[in-house]
Amino acid sequence: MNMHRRQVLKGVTLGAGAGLLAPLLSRIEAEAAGRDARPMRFVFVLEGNGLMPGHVVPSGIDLVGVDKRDKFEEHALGGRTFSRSLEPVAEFQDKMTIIQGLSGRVCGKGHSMNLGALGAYNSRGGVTIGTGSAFAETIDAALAKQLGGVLPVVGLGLTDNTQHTVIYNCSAWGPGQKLPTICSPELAYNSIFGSVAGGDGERNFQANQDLLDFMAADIRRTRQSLGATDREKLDSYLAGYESLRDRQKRVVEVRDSLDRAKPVPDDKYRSPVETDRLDAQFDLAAAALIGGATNVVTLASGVGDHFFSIRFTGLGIRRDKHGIGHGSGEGEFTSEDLYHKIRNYHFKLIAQLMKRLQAVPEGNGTMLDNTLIVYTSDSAESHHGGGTEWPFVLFGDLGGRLKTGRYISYPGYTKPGHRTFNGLYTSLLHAAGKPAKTFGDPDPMLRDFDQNGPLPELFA
Amino acid sequence: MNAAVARVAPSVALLAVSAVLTAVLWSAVAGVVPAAEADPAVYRKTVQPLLARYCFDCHGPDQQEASLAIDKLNADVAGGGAATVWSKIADKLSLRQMPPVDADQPSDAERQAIVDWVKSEMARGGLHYDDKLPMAAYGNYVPHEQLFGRAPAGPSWSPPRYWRIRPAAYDQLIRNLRQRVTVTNPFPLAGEGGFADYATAYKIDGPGVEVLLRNANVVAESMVKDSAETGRSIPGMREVLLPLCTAGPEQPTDQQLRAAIGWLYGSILARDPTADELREREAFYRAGATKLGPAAATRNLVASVCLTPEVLFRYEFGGGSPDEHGRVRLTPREIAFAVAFAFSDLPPDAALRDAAANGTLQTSAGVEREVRRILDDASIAKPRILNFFREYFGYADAELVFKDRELNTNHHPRALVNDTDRLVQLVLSEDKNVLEELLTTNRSFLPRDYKNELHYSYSVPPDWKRTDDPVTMPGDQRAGILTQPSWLVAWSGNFDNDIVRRGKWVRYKLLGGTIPDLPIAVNAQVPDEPHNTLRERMRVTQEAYCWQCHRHMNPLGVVFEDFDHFGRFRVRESVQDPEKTAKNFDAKGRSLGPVMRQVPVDASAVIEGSGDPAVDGPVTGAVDMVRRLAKSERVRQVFVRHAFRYWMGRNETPVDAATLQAADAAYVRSGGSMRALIASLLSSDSFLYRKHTEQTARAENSQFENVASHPTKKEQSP
Repeated sequence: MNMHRRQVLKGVTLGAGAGLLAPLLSRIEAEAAGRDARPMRFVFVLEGNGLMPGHVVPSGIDLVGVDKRDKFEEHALGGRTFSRSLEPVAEFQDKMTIIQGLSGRVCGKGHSMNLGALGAYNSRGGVTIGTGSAFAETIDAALAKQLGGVLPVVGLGLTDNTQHTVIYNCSAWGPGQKLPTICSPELAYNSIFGSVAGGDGERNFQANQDLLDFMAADIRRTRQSLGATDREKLDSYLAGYESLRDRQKRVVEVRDSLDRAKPVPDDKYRSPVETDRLDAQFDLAAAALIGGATNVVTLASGVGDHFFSIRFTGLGIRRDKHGIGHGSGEGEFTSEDLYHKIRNYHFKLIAQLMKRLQAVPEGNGTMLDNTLIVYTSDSAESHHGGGTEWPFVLFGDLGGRLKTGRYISYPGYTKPGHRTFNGLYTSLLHAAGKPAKTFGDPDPMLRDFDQNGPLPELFA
Repeated sequence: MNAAVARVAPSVALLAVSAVLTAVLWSAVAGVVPAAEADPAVYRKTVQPLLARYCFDCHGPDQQEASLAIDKLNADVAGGGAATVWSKIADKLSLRQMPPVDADQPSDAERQAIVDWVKSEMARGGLHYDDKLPMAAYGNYVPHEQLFGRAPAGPSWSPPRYWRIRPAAYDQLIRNLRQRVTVTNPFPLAGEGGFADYATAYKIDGPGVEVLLRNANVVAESMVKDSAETGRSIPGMREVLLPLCTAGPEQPTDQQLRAAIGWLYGSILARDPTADELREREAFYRAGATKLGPAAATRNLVASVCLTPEVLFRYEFGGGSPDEHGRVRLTPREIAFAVAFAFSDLPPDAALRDAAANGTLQTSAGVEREVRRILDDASIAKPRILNFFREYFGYADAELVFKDRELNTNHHPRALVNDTDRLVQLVLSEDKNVLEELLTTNRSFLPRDYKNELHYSYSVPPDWKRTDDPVTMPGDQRAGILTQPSWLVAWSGNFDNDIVRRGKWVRYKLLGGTIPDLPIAVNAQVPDEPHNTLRERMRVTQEAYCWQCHRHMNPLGVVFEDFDHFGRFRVRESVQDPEKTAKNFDAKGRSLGPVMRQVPVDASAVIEGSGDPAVDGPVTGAVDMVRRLAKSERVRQVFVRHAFRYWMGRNETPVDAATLQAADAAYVRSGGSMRALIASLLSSDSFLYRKHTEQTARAENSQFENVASHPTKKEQSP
């Protein structure tokens, strides 16, 4: 962590892609030297119940079985017809990268890889609810540590039960430290925009500041009177207040922009209909990014054990997604139709989010130019995913760092040149100026493969 | 990445770490084991000779088993790039996994010396070494013989501690203040691999503070609002808070303000504030009232009491002067809370508070009398006792195991858990040979609420008559909790039985054995072979490398193949018939699906290495095995160990031998009474006495020691 950036760069194992990466590395060095510094934001959109590879294949591209994919392939997206799922984002095709063929078998198997989907490790959940363990940081947290932000990670989610106001399903700051996913849009609004919520806002904010100060002093007094015994516990409690105080200070700094960006919590924030609440969460995500509250948002729709039985009644579907995952249709619609319909809605919201970011000027362009949206599923390639392949859809080029407008496909699992999704996450870290050697746990079945380093094919 | 090494900084989850904050955290680490200069002399004089003697034969100049050469490891633990390896070595030593059993064994003190050195060297470099032994999943690593195999070496005690209150106790606290507000519970309860509520297991960190703060504000807001406007009040609240939140030039008077603070302390902490506490909170209110107005100041005052550490942590430090063993006794107030929380999530009742006030709790006999009073009074709810059995057996997790509905529409896990709850309560009400009964009874309650469907789970005939009484099941099919559908489902997978986890359960919870953690590099999966039984598919675990651990689990788990993964008894199971399936096509050549065939169930096994010769040997199946286990003295003592852990909130250590042996004796003497066992534990020295361990004492004194022993001299690391 304290190593000099240049040293780290020299130490990175680049494998076969070293040549391709050279321009990227020099840019990271340039940024380290203070040139070309730009804001950067990441949005992760996870949707439960699998992202079937076939759902994101545009016209004219042949998707063969993973065992028949022998080499790396690349196709331009321009001029193709998009699938029913992807149709709402067709207008952003030049900002888009569809990635097929990465694997994530290290995460295990099941209805959800839980924290594994963003952590690239086996969180050993799947049999029982919520037992997914935080063995290490997830990629959203790792990026947040690099990018800073008043709220490092804003986790927003959706479950089928409005009682689930906060769940801990897919993100972790570090070992044993799951990050919350707020599933109540109202609660999320208060957490992010409480300080500018109006009314007695100002006074409450000040009162809160005073309370934090008093509590910090109160805990210090206790610590003094009870001595060193078992003190770690009090120290941790105290650190909680100290860091909230620090955050309050930073909230003051972005107060005006938060105030300008804050959404109006309307009926959809309280709606019993899932599509409304998801819409509200995307609304909040856009506002949090635009208002400068955070640089990293994770949106999790029906993600984690066992939140995948969600129903999208707002789309006229009565059957729950678990049933759909097991092949059940409804009326004239097959399971496949319903999958597309639900996924289509998610991409509609993604398109909306991109338009909002595009409307905000930043530097010579817009906020969208400096934002990357990563869409995938927490159960990889199917309803009971195994991670032999793990499709991703990316939007954005992070200020020209990434090459977009393409459909790329890696050689299949165990084929020469195959890559794991750890490489994708490592690439994101590189793009964010943190040239990590790798991210997550390697797949032990791929001992002979180079699983370190970023994916050079992604970079411009 | 699952290694014990973790930077301390990330405990401020959610929040950017400022330089100031980092400094605070780093000094926090230093507070545990204070920073000192590296002392290569310690390594050369103490550590290196021990490593040379016990480890270098296999991990030294001549041989490098597992590619590990300890002699070449950089002894600059934190800074030399080998911290992970050193912490692994410390784990192996403290858990007695190394040296191998057939090699020369270091003494306990020698093991500890190396572990302590690794720990302090890591702390010096700002790294944290997580001691495995106190963690719930590692309770069995203290050898059984050190606890039961010899007369206790001395009296028992516990270390002084903070113990974060349980989530349910927090809910109760909020509910006592405000009936109508709903808050989010800030406290997770994990309990992976052991009992959930361990004193060492929980800190409150950044995200927790955020939730607590939000809740405290919600509660305070509601109390102020009700006092000032609606008048909805709990007894005494409005009278004392109203003068504060509607302050005028004359009020609140100092007396009114003190009365309000006193009332808050009484309602939230069940005690009066000290003079200092009164003064600090008076000043807090006055300053706030001037700056922000009386209502905001009152809210903050209420919130500040809700958030004070003593509300969220139980203090168990003891008081008074140490006895001849250097131990101090918990204060009567601490004992009253400890006893109350042993039975429920409510604070002490009036009788217990009286006992604290009138001196009854100052003797162990007095404590036992109070414990007995609570145990014998059926009108006092004691949910923690049933909960012990729920956590010990784990059967309540049946509700959490996801099963696809199309596989069995008659699966109602909640009803199954309820049946087992009732069975446990029945056996507890009889209070005779409790463990043996729970392991062997062929009585069972059958569900009341789900029409006739659930007879499938219990394999009773379809025409069974609903009854509220326990039903006697066929004795060759069912024996106790481990054959109840709830337990079997709780320890099953989504689509199959779980031989490994069941076997691990028996090994750990009944035999007191240990299984090493799953090696990180292992990602073996049971093959998908629909034509083979699970028992046959488990052959992948018999590879030599896997079998060294699996031999301790699989035989104990395979006996439950007598049941399917919904807990239904079976003598045959179905597997796919590959030949017939291959021919199962319709006229158009489309597959008509798999064809199944029935094969007889094989649930036999050979038990080995149980620690009790009477248990080892072949068994025919689940009923045969649990009946044999139920007779074992070792199994009984392991059960006592688990009861100890649950009620003490920590793992047992050799110091607790006296407490454990007394508890076991009380249980045997009383004919297997759970009440006798609990009364013995809750009046034991481990429960009532506190003593600083060497480590905590060292942490407090060592700054002084460091100055004395090696002032400022800096040497090169070896």
